[in-house]
Amino acid sequence: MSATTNRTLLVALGLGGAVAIATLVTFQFTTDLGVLTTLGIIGAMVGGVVFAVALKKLPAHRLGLVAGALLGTVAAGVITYQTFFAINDEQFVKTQAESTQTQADLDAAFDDDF
Amino acid sequence: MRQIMLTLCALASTAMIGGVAVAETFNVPPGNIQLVEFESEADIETIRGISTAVSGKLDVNLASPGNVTGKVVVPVATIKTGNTTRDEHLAEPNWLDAKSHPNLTFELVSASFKDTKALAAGVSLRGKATGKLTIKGVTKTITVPIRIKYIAASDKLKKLYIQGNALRVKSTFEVTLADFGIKPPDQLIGAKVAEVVTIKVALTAVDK
Repeated sequence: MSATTNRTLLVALGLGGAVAIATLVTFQFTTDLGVLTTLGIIGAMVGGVVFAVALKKLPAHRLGLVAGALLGTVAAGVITYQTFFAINDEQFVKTQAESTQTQADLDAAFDDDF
Repeated sequence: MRQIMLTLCALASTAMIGGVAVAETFNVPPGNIQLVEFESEADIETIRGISTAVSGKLDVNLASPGNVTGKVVVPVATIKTGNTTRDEHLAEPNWLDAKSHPNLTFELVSASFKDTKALAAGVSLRGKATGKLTIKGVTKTITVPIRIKYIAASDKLKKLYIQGNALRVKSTFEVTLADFGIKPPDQLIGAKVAEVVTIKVALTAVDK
């Protein structure tokens, strides 16, 4: 990579990092957003800044690399979320819905005021 | 003649007292009429898990509901959080260790209610229940708030496939995981599981 390319990437990452820190502080102290949501927003903003700087400064043949890296990062984030955090058990969803309905019916049958 | 009458009265009284003192057994059949739910609110995420495969029985003296004993069992393998990877982790040795300790149990020892009236049709009572909670092989005696309501057999219940009389029991309480030898691992960006989880119980016990 040329010195210009390196400098551009450093600038992009620096700007992205600054945005990330500012966003983290802002969201954690001013909102009730969870850590995952905050990290997602920060990731999107950092990615946006990096891509915007790269788009403006990098030659076309380097842009593909940055875009690919960003897409890879997004894919990794989505897979991690789906594997460890998201509701992905269809039987659970069905059982939970049936259970909720049955419990509501029981409350009604028992005139449940407690 | 007087002797015979006195004897008959004594026998009748004994039978009545005996009848009052006899506890009635209510079964807790597994299924959607049972719900045990836990909620862990940690830094990273809030996890809700449920099981409807709760089973057991309650022996209740309806005339004196404080005289109640029983046991309910929740198989660890039936506790689901909606995420298959997380459910696998939940059953692993550093969490609930389903292989060595396949069940969570609560053995009810006694209860005390604010109101001392008998449990008759439509009567609901609030109070406290004391029992032995066993999680991951560790047993602790705990006292939890309890609400109980007795309903006589009805068409409403039959629509829910409940034959006979039924007791509805509800409770919400907190459990500190460390008390039962469960310590959530430290995470780089915060805990995934809370140190204290909230347990919500809604059981329906039937006498048939």
